[in-house]
Amino acid sequence: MPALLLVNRLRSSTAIIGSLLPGLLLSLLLPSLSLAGGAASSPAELLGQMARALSELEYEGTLVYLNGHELSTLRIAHRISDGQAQESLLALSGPVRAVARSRQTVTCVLPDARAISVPRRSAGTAATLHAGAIDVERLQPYYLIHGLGRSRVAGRDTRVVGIIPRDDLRYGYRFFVDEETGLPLKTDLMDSSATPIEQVMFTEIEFLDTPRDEATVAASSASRPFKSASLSTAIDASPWRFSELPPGYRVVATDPVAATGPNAGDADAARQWFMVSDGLAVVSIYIEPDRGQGLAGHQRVGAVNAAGRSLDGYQITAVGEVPVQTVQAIAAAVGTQP
Amino acid sequence: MTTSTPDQGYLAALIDGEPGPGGFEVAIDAIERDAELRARFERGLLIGQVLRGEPSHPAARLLSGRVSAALASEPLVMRPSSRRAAHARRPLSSINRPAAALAIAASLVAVAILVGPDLISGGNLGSAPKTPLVAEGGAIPLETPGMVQASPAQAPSLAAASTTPLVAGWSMEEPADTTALDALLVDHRERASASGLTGFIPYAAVVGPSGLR
Repeated sequence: MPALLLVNRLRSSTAIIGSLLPGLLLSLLLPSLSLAGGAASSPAELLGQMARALSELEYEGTLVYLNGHELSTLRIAHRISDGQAQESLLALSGPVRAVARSRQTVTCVLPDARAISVPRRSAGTAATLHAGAIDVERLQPYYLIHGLGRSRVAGRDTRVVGIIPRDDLRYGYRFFVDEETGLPLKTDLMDSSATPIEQVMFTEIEFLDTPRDEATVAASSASRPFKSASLSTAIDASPWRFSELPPGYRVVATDPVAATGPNAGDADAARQWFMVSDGLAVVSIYIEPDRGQGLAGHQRVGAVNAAGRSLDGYQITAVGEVPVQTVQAIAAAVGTQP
Repeated sequence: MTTSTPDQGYLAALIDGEPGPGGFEVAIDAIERDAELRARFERGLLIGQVLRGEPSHPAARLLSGRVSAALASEPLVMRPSSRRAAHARRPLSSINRPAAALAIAASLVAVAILVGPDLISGGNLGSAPKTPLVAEGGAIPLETPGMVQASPAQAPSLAAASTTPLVAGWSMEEPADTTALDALLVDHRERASASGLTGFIPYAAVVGPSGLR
């Protein structure tokens, strides 16, 4: 008899655990979230609020970066000066790494003391994909977008938005958006199974008073379209063509000079750039004369994958925060027009 | 007591995160322009890594020269010629905050005590980080192949050793190729950040990874 009682108790315990398991898994997926929601803004509104905050707010803070088993501490200062966002980022742990985004250039000091500079992409020379908020409708076929309740980050209340990919051709995001300011205080980059690949989170942040006129200028500057596709407009990529891009991806932007063809006189001018996006994920394609030193195959750093190949005397390199199969497919999709 | 010089200021800016007048970028510019200053910067980095018990690669000290040569011959750094044009702007001074300094203050104190005079004065540190000296602190990890200074006679062997990728990441055969790919990565981040799609810290993925195996 005691043995039968024990079996029955075990069965009932198993049933209870089985009924609770989905909830337990959900709680693991959504750490520390309250699903109450309250007077919740819609996910689309939150994403719009986030986009505005990114272009308007000035702040300083400390954040942690987690990739795999590696944890780094970073210090950031973000300013708006004459309508342009400027930023400095310094690694506080491990080898010295830093980024300074000034008015004209972005300079990076990498772990082995190499310094790399690239020009800032102002509104007249590069591309913005969209003006402000993310186009939720465009994302729907490829992502699930959900409000995930509330959480606390850096001692502040946030609302959480999850953008989960429907396939393994793109990564997903989980944004923890500050309720007061709209700034995302934590961003998780996730794969299609919602496993975090890379996480960045403020541990302390101080918002600065932003002059309203500067913020307005910044917002208008950030939202100014240039050689980018409104999503119904095709980009003239001649002499190149992009066939059989992965589902949902399309060429959305290029440098103005790129459409005129290569200019062999200068390496930067000869390098053509195209942006391929599904509305959220962004991949840059660089096409330049092949000097026999470019990337062949694929490489990965953190969540960034790169794939390269040669084509008719040109080096094709695709770089982006997408799965490796996606960046490979995009690099392979580049061809020449007949 | 030594008198502070601009070079010291640049080194302090990059090693302990305290930009002097002119801001952080001025220090980076100075490091880029001056090979000797860059070498001192790299020595400081290497010493700091050993004192902190972090994995380090002596062959990395040869890198700047090779990259500089590559940069001179390869138009891969996508920077405008007007970069150094003076322009009035508000400097980003927040890196000068205590949080930055505190994070590495301990190692800096040790660096200053042990090798500061030579580092600051620009003296040849060729024999400065003697193995016994560092070993007394017990800071050399087993995987660190000693702090052997790169003398000209040793350079070829170290150069050969440096064909092994120094950082976890792009594993291209040549450092110049790695730099070219890094330049594309930074350019991509800059362009992608303009779209506002990739989160709030577009460069966290660039400087977040320590790069050490």
